[in-house]
Amino acid sequence: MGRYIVQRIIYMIVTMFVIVALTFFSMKLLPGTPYKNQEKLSPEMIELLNHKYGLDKPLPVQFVKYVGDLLKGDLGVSFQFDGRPVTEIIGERLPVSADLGFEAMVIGLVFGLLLGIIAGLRRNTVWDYGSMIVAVIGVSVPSFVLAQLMQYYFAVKHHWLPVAYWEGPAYHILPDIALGFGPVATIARYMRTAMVDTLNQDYIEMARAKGLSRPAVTFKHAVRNSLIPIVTIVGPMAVNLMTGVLVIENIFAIPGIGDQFVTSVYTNDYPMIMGTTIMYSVAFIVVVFIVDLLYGVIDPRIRLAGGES
Amino acid sequence: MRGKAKWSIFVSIMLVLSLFLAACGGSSQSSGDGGGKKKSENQLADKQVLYFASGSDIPSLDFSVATDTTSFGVLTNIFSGLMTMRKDKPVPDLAAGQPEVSADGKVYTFKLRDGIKWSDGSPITAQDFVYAWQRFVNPKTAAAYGYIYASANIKNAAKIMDKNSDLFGKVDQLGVKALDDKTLQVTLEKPTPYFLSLMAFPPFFPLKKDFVEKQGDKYAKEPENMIYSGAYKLAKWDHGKGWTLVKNPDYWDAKNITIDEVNYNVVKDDVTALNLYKTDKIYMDTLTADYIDQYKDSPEFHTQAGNCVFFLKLNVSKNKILANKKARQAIAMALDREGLTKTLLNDGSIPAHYLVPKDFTFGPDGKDFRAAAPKGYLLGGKDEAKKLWDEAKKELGIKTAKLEFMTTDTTVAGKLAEYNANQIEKTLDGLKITINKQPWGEYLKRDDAGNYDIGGGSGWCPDYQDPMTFLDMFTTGNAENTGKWSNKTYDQLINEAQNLGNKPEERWKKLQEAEKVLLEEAPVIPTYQDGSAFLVKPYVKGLEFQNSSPRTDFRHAKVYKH
Amino acid sequence: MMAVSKKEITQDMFQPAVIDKSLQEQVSGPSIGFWSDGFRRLRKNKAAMVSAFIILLIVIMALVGPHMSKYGIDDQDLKRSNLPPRISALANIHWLPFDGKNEQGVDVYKERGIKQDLWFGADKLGRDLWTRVWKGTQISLFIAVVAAAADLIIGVAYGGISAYFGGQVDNIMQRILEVLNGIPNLVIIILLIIVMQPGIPAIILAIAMTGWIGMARIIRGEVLKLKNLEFVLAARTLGASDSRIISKHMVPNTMSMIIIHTMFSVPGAIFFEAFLSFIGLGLQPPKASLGVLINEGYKMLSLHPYQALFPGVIISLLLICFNIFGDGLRDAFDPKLRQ
Repeated sequence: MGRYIVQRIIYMIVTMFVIVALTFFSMKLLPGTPYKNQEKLSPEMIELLNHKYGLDKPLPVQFVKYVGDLLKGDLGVSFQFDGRPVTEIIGERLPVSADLGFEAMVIGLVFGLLLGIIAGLRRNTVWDYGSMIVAVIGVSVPSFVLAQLMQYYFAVKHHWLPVAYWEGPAYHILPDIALGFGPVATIARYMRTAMVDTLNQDYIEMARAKGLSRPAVTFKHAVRNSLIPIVTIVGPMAVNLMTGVLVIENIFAIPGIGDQFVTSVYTNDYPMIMGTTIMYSVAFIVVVFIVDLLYGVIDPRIRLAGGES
Repeated sequence: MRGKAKWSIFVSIMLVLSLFLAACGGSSQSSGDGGGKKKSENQLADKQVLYFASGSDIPSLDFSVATDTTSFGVLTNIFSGLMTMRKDKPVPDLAAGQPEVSADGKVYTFKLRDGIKWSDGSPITAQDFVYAWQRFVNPKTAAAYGYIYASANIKNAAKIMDKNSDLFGKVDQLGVKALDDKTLQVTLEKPTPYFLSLMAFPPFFPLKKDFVEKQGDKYAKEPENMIYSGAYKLAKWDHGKGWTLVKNPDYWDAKNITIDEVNYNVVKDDVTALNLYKTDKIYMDTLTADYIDQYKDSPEFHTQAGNCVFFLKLNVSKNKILANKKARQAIAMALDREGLTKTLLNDGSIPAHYLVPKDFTFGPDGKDFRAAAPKGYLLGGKDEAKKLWDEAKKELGIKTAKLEFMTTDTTVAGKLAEYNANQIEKTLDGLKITINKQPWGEYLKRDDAGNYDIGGGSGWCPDYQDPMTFLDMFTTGNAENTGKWSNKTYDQLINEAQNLGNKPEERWKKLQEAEKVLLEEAPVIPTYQDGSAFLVKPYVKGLEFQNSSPRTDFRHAKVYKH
Repeated sequence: MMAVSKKEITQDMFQPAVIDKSLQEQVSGPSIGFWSDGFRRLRKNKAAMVSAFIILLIVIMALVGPHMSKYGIDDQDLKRSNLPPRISALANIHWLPFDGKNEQGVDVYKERGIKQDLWFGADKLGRDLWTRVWKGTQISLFIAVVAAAADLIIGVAYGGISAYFGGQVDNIMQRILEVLNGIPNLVIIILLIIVMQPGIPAIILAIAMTGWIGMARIIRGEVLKLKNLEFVLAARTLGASDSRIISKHMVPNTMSMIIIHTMFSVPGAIFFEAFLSFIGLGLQPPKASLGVLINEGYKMLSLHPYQALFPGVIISLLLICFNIFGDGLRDAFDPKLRQ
């Protein structure tokens, strides 16, 4: 196991390097410059600015410098926000997004699993169809529609909750629900399906035949064996939610990092593009690794380490 | 089970429907709340505090880096220049009254006010101007707005920034001098009628050398890394979230500044901003076209004409059809600009058959530049468009034609492209238009390379208050003239106007004539002059709106009890 | 699943499930009864049949609908700008949105002197939404098929192979997946806009690039779990080849996960296409898909709710019906559920 983990970490570093390199070179192919008033700049002026920011050097040279700085923990400075270090911007904004994403994830897990388990156990009952309805609404009503409807109803019409901003606990309620609704739907649906599959396996009948109590069968066998797909989807889902969701953050005026990625691509803010990509990819790769480890915990028969060889 | 299944389908459909319907039901009664209560209307609020939303965070507070309206809006409140803009007219700020101008119109001598100081208590001197200006044109600073010094015609500015000149980087050759602590002398290359209005623009504001150099890279990054000279100080800056301005007691005119504190929150979503406005969390909100109908008749509704003009650029050099003058004129006349501004934009924009906007510049006689041709040119309408197009087809020997309409990927640009393309197609028989959306960076690249037929994502906002900022773009060889239209009469008129700085009447005539030549030849087809529509709470009085920064001038506003 | 819109693909989808189960579980038994049994049970499932009927109806309307109105997708007339829907026969039933009145209760048709009924109303540019919605349904159905195909062909195969062979194969394939997931999609899409002609091929490419990653990961997790189960060992002992075990044992046993995941990835793809069109890679205006129409209509939600309502209802209906039908299909053909 120890060897497997070390090997995976080495792979993770290699993967990151490939991502950094590919992103770096493809991002430099993007048209335009990072300068905000580029439409009014003369070619000479752009040359002068490129020189100032070191963008006039050959790409491989820029890349080597970037990787060198990266190893020192320096992600460069942003163009959009004049000269502010990318690490500082991420450091300010990521915690906000992570906070929001975490709360939404908790809502998603708690309600999603509950709904899914009940639906799976009570197949073809009102519970089952209820969870299906939630799931269908969850996928076909985009989160931004739900967010704005709730904002209108709870904040504008009834003044029960604040419209927007990110201050005290009351400010978290609407965005948490808006963001958590999709995960509830998704998790409930996967859990229900996995439960139905599992409950039809022979070993469940075996357990019942042995005279195990219903709760014991449900939680020891059925739920545990249904968790593989949940773990698979929940990992990346958590990464996506916690690294910033543009629409929800915009609708509730939350100072998260969600808009940074899109804006930096559109404004050619190279250091910011790299910074957000690295942030996201590191989170994703680590989570995938954890998911793989969890597979083994959930189902001891799964052995990734030794493999087939 | 089957029964239940059917029931659940029905319920889920109804639920989805009701979500959509709930959206509609709710919002229609929303307008009109927040009207002030009568009894307290005339009593000043205890605290003179304003709340606003901003569409973006402040990108930069360093003059040499800032290029956007958000930054300039803050900069013009926390720093001062020789002049400041009020209702789009320059009035003396740090300068004690109007400057002395030499007879040839090339030398301006400013006297500074007595008792002006930085927020650390030290006096603002003429040397602070010299330092800031030299820093700005220094190629090492590489200020993105550097060209504005050349537009202002300040002596040697262009050469100092030109790598091929022997004055390159020699900032001490810039035409600005401190005669003493209180006297600043500026020398221009040639008389420049709009020079004074530029003095209200942040790139020409002073900076205190000791302080800036001590801060180094940190300068202007945080509120504590700045000393202020304006009516306000930046008290708090939560990056990404918002910022707070508080009144600067050291400002020379502090006694006339009525608002004590202004809070900005970054709100990117239009609907959210409107909801914040409805719940009195912000006192002003800019409306997007979609919401204007709802508020049109409200007393809180205001519109303001902007000074940007949007147009279609035609590629005269690469495209055979567009090289034909009649074809270009036909396209210009085929567009229904009324429908575009009234129905599509609906935000106070006005149809433009002209390039130099209305209410933007006023001649030596005090009359609007537009007075010569208030409506503009090529007013023929669709019938004449059809006739011209038939003639053009004959001249070109074609029956059908295909053109590409390049535009950018914003919502408004997309809608306008669909509308304009449809108008052209419907009016001009046999002409097929395809729309090509490109990201902004690529749009600019293709524009620069002349790689388009019709450039529909273009517009121009003035750099300084003079028709020249619009008109010199289309001279032969100008970088902006990517359609490569070339006309000797036009070039000559512009050239003459450029050298008539001290004969304003003649210059004005030349410029008006030039616009006529340009637009009748139609290498560029103006469509509209922009506008904006917004709501202001009835208990906030005295806000002034203008097209120069600060666009929302709250310095003399008052908040009443509500 | 999504493929339902085209008949052939529907069959494709369940075919493998069928053959494998019958051969696998009833090694010596007759496989004849399986198909007819499945269909019989599918027919008995009324919810699934109603769903199939609604899907069919929507498909037919998508093809026929645009020809029922005299306006094309780009017939603009600002006189009709934001005209509410009206169906004269239904105009007196007030809870239906077909009375031609706007949110303020003004009869816009009378106000502007328009005689012709527009069943779904008109958008800002005065274009008939009936035509645009059904044309858009065509495109969105197509996107659904593409997304489902990417999921099924690339996603299922990738995840299945990766997990089944395990070890170094899995390791390499998963790292490639991480790289694909890590490179910012938007950068690649913008580069595509510049080099490609916008249109259907560009959309397919964009979806095929990363649309299947979720499916691949789900299937991998399932196969990892399945490959150590007894029946797989049994099959291997009996000499079944790898490809046979993957296609006949692994994939069918993950069918329910495949159906569920497709249900989530298809609407994702529909909105992704709307985003692509918005930034210029997808459809070029005036063409529009349901996703584009919803995005446009959504902005007018509080003023002209019908503009988002009709495309929204069609998408919702499609999703619900796909889902119920998919469940029905699986129930009918899943031997484990035969009780």
